[in-house]
Amino acid sequence: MTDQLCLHDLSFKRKHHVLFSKLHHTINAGEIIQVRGHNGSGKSTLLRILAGFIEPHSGMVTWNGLCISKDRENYIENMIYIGHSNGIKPNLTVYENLSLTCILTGFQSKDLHIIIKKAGLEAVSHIRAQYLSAGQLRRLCLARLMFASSTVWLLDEPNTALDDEGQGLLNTLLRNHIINHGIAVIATHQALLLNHTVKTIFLGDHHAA
Amino acid sequence: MQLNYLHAFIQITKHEIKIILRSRFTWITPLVFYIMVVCLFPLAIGHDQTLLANMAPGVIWVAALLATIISMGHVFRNDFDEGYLDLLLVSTYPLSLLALTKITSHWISHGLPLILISPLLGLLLNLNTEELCALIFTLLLGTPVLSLIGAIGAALTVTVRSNGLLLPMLMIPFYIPVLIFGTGIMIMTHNHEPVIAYYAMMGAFVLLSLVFAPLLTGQALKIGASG
Repeated sequence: MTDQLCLHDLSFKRKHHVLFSKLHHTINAGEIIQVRGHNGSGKSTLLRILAGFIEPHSGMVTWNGLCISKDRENYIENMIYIGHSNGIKPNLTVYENLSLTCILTGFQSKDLHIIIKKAGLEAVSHIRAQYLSAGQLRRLCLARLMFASSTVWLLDEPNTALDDEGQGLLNTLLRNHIINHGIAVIATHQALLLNHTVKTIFLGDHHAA
Repeated sequence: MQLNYLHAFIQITKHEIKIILRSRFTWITPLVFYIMVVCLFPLAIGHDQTLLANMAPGVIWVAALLATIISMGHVFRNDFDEGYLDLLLVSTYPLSLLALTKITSHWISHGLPLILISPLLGLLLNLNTEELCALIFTLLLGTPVLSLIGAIGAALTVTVRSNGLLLPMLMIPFYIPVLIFGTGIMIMTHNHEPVIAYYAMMGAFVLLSLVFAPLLTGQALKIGASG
């Protein structure tokens, strides 16, 4: 069975302001979805709903036909969410941060050094995260994508603060992910430079996609 | 996937303790506060040594309780700001296990130093050997309960910006039983009365909060994230 993430008539209100309503989408294995919209249009909220942090006001998200809030454990094992705030502990070193996330995701890996090298953080692997630049922190987040065998990637503005090389790293990761029949939902303003058709969800006033 | 809960628990707790110990102010401030409060009492009361020994249980316990409340606010605050809570929420391990790692690391880094310094402070307050033992035993049973119950409050108020007195007001009513039994044991030891039933009661508090606090903390964190 191929994996499938479905959004069924999702609606979300903040106070009396409707962020989005009746959002309906089917995302199949091997697809990248870009979520676009102006600031405050609900991109991050949509991703947090897809990650199961927030319940939508109506509608539901299903993973392989099962509602993600009911089949939470199975979904969590197959999903990785990288949000706005990095989730990095400033007074742990790069290596320690990565090994902590590694334990939390329940993934046994002996090759953290290889991952750090791939992410281009070799020189700073024993430096505390508080001394890293914004771009390096972002790379550390993306390094998580390398050891996670998750099918669903939910990335909130993954390319902020990244240099060209970092951008290239992200694109390579995404390309490999698609080849392995993964799913990626990415909230970003920038155009994704992939040799792959990217479907787009527009939030806010631009309903004509 | 094969998950080893005990292994994960130890590994995560190790990391958590490392995080706390590296930000020195977080764990030293409550400890210094505790020492200062207890040290000021002999100075203020003067040379009445019997009065001092009579007041000692109350003084030490109130100081320990307030020091714990001070430290409690930090438990999930940084995790929330750094987006680390999101990681905990999508972890393959149950949230109650992760809450227990936070509580354990809090107790090791905050409760244990209080207990270790207490004999010294007890001497300052003119306690005899028997009373010093009672002090250490009550703190050994009492401080885990303070950490366990406090974590529920800390998780509930994690999304409240500048919560100030909200957390203490929320927690103090639940701390009162521990305070009463903790000081009670010491007063009864002072009067040479049998205290075994009181110890049993304290033990019951520990077990009860050990079962429920991680579950409730986990639920509270889940609610906090959806805000």
